[in-house]
Amino acid sequence: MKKFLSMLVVACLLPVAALAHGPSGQKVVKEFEVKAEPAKTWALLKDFGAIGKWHPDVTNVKLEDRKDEESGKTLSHRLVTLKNGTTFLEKLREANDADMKLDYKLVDGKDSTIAVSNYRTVAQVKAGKSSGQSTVTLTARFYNKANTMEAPEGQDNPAANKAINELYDEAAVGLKKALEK
Amino acid sequence: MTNQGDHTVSVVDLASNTVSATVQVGKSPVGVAIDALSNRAYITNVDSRSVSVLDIGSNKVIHEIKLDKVAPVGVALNKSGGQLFVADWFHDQIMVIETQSYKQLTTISMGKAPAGMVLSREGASLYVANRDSNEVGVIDARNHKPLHKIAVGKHPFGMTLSGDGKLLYVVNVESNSVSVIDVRRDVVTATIPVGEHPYCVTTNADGSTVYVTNTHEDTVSVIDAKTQRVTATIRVGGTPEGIAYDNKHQRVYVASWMDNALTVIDAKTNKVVDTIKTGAQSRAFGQFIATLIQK
Repeated sequence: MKKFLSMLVVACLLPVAALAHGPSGQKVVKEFEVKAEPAKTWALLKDFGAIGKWHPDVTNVKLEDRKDEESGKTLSHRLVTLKNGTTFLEKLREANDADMKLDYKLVDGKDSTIAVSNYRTVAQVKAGKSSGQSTVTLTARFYNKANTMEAPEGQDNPAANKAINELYDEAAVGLKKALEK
Repeated sequence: MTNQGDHTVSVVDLASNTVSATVQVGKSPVGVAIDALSNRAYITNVDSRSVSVLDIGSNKVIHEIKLDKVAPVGVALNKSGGQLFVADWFHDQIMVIETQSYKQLTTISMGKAPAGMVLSREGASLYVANRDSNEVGVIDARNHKPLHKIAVGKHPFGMTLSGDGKLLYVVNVESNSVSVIDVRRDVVTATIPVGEHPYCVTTNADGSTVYVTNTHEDTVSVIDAKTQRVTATIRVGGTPEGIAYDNKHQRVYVASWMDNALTVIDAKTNKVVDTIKTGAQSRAFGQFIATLIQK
């Protein structure tokens, strides 16, 4: 009986364990030069609701203040829709003018269909390689959508990396286009 | 210093704060446990599902312990160094491996998603942070029998024994706090709020100061152990994970996953005094500082 019981417990625990967080976070870093003053680049980047004005893949943005469950603070949230139909809800945690650093996180749940989870971005503007230029660095940490090592296709690490790489590559194109005119 | 992104371990000379060697290990290394007596370091490799055994005199991998369908993360040694405890959070068990023969002796099941592990100072008890059951499991380290469970905050992960061995500090990732456990009675005596998404913890040699990495705000919280309050918050490299105290130079070393670096804090001034470039995505989960007994 005891053996049977312990087997039963194991059988019940396995699906729960499969939902647990994958142990290997993923990382994407993009750094690019923009031919615009750092202050100008920063002003556009930190305008959290303005992503629709410069990101080529963004078709709709809804900006609103919401209560953040994690910190208890009221934070600016943006619900973004992409050309391919993907959506994501992001909360702005910090816009640091001194460091020209933007820190935002994905809110996992029904509003976020993008193929990642536990996603955080730090976007920073620095003085560029020559005067009048900016260097923009976008760094992301995230887990795959399924949040497990044995993720099904489309919710696995390659899918998660593809989603963020595409988002960032187009961000570089869009920021340059918007600021260099 | 384990580097998840390039599958290496960086060996750092603490006297000069320079990387003295880079050793290729298994895929996506995370955890580290050091046996200074036998000059060995044990590294858990999540994606190759193995443990690399390093000789820290020569900085060479002397063996790779293959684990079947297991995702090893947390790792600890028993008092003699003869047995290695490896936490497998996918199957909710701890494997006990004999370090001479590399044979698996037994497995211990106690809670869900075991993560950080710490041995009591005298070596009698093994403490395990069971992340998904929000408790710390206590196991008899000699006969491998579960003893009891201590309820803590949400998602306990990194743990450390205070420098004097009397207290166990447990980081609660989702509660943004640290639970303090009196290890003579195995009860929680305090819960201290820290920064967002904390991960790992260490203390100085006498246990008077506690340091916690906050991964989602890129800071280290400094706690006065007597008042159990945060007395300083230090900005460090992006996504700080592993943290350890170097008693000889009175410095705190923090692995920065985002910056691929080790941030060095002077414990006397709480100021960042150095940043050492390591490998990609540094983690160093465990007490990663050791003094070589002999070279």
